Amino acid sequence: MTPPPEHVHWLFATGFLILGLALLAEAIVGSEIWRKRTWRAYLFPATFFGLGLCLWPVMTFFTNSTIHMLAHGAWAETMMLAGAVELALVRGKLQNPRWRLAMVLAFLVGGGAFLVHEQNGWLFQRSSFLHHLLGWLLVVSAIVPLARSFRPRSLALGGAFALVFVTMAVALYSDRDRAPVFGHISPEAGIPRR
Amino acid sequence: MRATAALGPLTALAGVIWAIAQPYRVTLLDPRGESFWWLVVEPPLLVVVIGLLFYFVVLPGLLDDLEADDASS
Repeated sequence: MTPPPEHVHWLFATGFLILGLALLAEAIVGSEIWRKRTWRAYLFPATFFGLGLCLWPVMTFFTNSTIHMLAHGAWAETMMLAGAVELALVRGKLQNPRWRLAMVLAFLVGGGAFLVHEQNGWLFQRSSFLHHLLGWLLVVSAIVPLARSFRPRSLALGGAFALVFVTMAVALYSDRDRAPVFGHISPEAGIPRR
Repeated sequence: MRATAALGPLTALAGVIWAIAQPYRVTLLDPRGESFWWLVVEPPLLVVVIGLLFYFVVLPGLLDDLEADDASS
């Protein structure tokens, strides 16, 4: 009953799409308007925390190797930590905006997790390419939550933060278990699907 | 306000275009022989659903709050 890995990626893509849309809307209307309703204020942190929670079953049921288990576990922990910190910031339990640096940690650990648990090269097949792409996307774009922790009201940074999640959703939706990338697939990857 | 209102429909439209471009990823069109996960997780439909949810669940309250803010300022 365990879903194929590509389905897991698509489900996470849906979570990241929700995050991206919520953050885009918040960036457009401003945090004051967005947070006028409590449930909207909690939407991003709660969904982010929930996605971290969902990484635990991924760690448990998709243990292809020790590095897979460690990568998914570390990623789950940092996503839950960053989601909990964002929840506490919204709730007012935490006041210092520097707590947002927990999101930088989640980005760096998430990017590292993508990179270390992909054992094949960029053009081995599509999922390999996307793991490398997503890993570097997260590592490089960690600069966005870093800058956001110092300028939390910046519209440009809010928009950029949202676009990172939308880009992640697009990349995760593009994932297939066995498919070519730019017309290339290694013979060792198996028979490609459509 | 227009940009916010367009987010949901644009997302749903992207899902519809994706479904037309890659109909084989919508297994409901030919469900015979498909297993549970292939029938439940259909990416283009998920994108459409998220776009519609955003439009019908998030947007109405958000527009009300924007109008109330405009009226008070």
